[in-house]
Amino acid sequence: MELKDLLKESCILMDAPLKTKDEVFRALSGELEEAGIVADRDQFRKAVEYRETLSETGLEDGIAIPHGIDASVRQAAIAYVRLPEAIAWESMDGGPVRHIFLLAIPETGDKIHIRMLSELAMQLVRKETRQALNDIRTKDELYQIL
Amino acid sequence: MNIAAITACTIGVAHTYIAKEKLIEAAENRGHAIHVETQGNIGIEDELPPETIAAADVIILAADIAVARQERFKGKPIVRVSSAVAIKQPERLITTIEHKLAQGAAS
Repeated sequence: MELKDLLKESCILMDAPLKTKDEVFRALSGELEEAGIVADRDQFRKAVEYRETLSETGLEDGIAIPHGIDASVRQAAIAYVRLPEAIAWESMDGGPVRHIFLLAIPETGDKIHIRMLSELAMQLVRKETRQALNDIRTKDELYQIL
Repeated sequence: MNIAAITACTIGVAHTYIAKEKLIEAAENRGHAIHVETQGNIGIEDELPPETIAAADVIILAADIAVARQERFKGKPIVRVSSAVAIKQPERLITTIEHKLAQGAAS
């Protein structure tokens, strides 16, 4: 299993000028549907929005990991956007968010890939990763630091 | 001190594991030994060995859902918090436990 299978190139949006959480969810859910990972972008987005009501998904230093578990997810996957400017988000350090990793989680099975999502979440709280995210310029560099 | 902990969150994919990472970092920074079991979407991982539980001065349950198999901790001091507490204020959680244990008041 390669990271590129989990995080498809088409699901990486570098410096997309999105202004709100809703715009981010719509854009990333759309990419996941077009990549064939999610069967129904709106149904998946509702699962993500529900998760947001439980507790904050923003971590520290401008990174957020919203996630949705839903029957419309065919396989575990990630979509990522780096924003040109940080936007308001409920986060652990109270700060705005610039890097958003949206995790798509299937309702059953796929344990290996779900484990990989968890690994990624752990990696994102490490300081080196958080700092490196601000400096990357290309999708390849993103793959390298992850 | 010796800490045995379990983390668990609602979806069981992200916060369970982040809480684990944060607890280990904070505990080790304070010079404590810690073992963290995760009860996530994919089941139990890094299960607490019975000898670790026996040697633990405190059990931390950082969970937003019911923790499975709590019968293992009979007679042990248990500290229950949400996963958010372990993620946001792990140092404060650990130092609070240090003080409580020093006073013999953990429950």
